[in-house]
Amino acid sequence: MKKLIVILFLQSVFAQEVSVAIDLEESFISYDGKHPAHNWTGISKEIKGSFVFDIDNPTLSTVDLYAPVFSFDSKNSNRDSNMLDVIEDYFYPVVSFTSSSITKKENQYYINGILFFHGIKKEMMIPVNFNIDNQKIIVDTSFSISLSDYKIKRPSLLTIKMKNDITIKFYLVGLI
Amino acid sequence: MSFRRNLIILSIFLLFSSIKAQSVVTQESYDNRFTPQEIGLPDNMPYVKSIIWGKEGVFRKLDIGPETRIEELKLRRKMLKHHQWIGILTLAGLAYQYDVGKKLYDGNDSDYWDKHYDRHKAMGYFTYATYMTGASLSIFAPPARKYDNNFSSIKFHRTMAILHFSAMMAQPFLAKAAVKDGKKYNDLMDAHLKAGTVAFFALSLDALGITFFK
Repeated sequence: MKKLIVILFLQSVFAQEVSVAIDLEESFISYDGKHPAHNWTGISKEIKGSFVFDIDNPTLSTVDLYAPVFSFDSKNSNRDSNMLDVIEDYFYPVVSFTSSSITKKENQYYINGILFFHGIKKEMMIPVNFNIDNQKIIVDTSFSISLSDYKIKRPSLLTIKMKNDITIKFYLVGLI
Repeated sequence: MSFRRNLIILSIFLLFSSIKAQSVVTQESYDNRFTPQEIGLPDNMPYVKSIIWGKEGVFRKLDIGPETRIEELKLRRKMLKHHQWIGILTLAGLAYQYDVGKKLYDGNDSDYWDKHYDRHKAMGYFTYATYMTGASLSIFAPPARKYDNNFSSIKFHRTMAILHFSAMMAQPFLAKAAVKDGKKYNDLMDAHLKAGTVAFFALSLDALGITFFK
């Protein structure tokens, strides 16, 4: 028993697994929408959830983050309202990502997990980059999803629908 | 005794570890994140919209409209889809009207007049009806989820709408007055042409703006 306590105590002292406090000033999640006539970007800085980072072995880190879909701002309230209509935020108020594992292949980290959007869960493998600078960790990623995969009816402008694929960018600055 | 003490130490340690690994979000907010919140009316509603759909709006007092805010948003979406289609139809009609109207006003060709005058008049009623139907679909649509004060394509659309709406309102009255009042015929027809020009170009610019501006 004493040995076990000693092991656990040492593990506790030297464990490098830390909860990361998300810097909401610098962090954001965005989507790039495309229409034949113009493109736009909607940004949310209301990232919530948890991010536990293992400094020694980043593959042991976990993320469980979400953002209210209402918080995405494209600087055009009419477009934001149209997006909210098709996303049906009154039923599905958040978009979230929960990691199940992190893998490393050829110097590239991948977060595997579930993206929950418009009431539909999809397994994703997302490439991520991260840098540690003093007490800051910066994680960024960019990946595409298809609106049709999440059963979202695309809004249209002058009868032409927006493109099915949107690019999601994620830039997270955390204090460790 | 020793075992008990060790157990207490182990418990304290486990508690410490659990606190250390705890997420930055509280359990309560974690559990509630997927729970839809009740949707109310937006802030910064345009004045006209608040008169119709505000808490004390006319439609609320007359008990007109859907029972829930979600149904209101679905109705709004349908109305604005039709608003777009009717807008395109109206613009096509106004392009024809502008072209024919200008030729009728400028030309001295009596054959052209005989062939096109009645058509121009009928198309005038048609474009007026489609324009007002389209405008009504927008004006009377329930409020959106969000309103802001940014300068965007929708702000441009609303600004241009004041211009082409005013011109369209004046159009049939100017034409009728011209036909009735022979003395002022030329002046009134001149005003009718100018109003038609403003309506057509303002609506065209509006369509371009809403399509290509962000």
